[in-house]
Amino acid sequence: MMDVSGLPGFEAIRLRFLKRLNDKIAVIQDAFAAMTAHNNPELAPKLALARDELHMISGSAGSLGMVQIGDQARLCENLTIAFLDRLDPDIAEMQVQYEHFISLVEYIQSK
Amino acid sequence: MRVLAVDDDEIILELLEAIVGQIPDVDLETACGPEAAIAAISAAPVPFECLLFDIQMPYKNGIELCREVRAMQDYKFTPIIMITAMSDKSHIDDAFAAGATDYVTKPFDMADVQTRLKIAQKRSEAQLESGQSIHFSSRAAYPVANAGDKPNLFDHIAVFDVPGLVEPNSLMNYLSQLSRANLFGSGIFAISIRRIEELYLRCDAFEFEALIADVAEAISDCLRNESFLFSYGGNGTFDCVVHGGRQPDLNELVDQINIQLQQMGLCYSDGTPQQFQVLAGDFYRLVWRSSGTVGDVLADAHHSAEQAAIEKEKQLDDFWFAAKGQTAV
Repeated sequence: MMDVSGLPGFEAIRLRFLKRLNDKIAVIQDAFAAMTAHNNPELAPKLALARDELHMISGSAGSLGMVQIGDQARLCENLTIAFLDRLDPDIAEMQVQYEHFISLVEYIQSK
Repeated sequence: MRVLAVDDDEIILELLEAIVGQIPDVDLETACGPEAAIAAISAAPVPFECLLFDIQMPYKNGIELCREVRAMQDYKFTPIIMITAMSDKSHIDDAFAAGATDYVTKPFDMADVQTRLKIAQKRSEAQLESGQSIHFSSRAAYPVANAGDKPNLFDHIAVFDVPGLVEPNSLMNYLSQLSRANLFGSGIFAISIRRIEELYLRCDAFEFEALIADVAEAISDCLRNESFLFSYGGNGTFDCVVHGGRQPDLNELVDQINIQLQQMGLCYSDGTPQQFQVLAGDFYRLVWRSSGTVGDVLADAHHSAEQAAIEKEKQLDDFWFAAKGQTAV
């Protein structure tokens, strides 16, 4: 696989992605916090926002060399879609995966 | 080649600009989302020569956008490359059925994106050189061929608005890119129109194209319970790809198609009934085949159906001449 990291402008794009990730992770953390509250009426709309952000991250992170973040975002996105569609309302699993995703992003941001 | 890339993520658009910037003679414009895409397409003084659509976009996804753009007269034959996450096979199938010609996956492999665009570039240039002289058919919505424009028997004939029918190049792109896992449970077979040479000689351009369109409709309708894509490969033969573990009963399928064709009551323009039938060749499973050999399997399936059609006529001739005490030549 020929990655894109040698392209002119790649580092600038990567930095822009990381900057935007700060806003995106806030939305995801908000949804994660809503999961912990029992019967939170705000959960579904917050998860819908998180799903959209996770979708964006899963689409671009891998191409920017952050494959683990991209894969974990995809996993969280799929769990969220299943939850919102009531296909697989496994909130405990979703909490675990969100937590893992948030810690991965925090690790990248701390570097 | 002028390319329009559409994605709701600006980061992806920036990446595509960087990747495409490496290809000579390709100019990329971008649109952030379907509405911006339609605006860019409408405002373009000259139609774009290639389109790149992300599949998963909010409000209107790339598949709907593809369908909408394909309905525009200027974009009937424009290469449309879909951008998708690796796991979205069902989306890929839907995209091809909506008129996509190829796809690239995210995360991007730079070489793959560039290869797909170069293929599209060649195709676009070939169409420009030929003056977009691909024959097309269809009775209502599009202009029809004049008698003098009769396609060669072996030419591809584009037929629109038949569910599951795609161009031969698109079918090949689709198959060659499917992963081994996605090929699992898939199979290929072909369906041939019997006595196609005779029918071809009897038909004028419009009648022949209409005949191909009618058979395509019958095949599509009879495969409606399957997950499938198919294309017209010329010489009266359609190449079909089906998914799912179950192998369709080809004898039953052929019977259904022939009954449907009979019920359509097809006629030449002078009112004479068109009497013909189709038959199927061998069924080829794609399990464990590498993507590189899929093209060979498609060719084998196509050839098998054509041979079956020839054999069937020979058998009938032998039977006829035997009954008359003669030998078939």
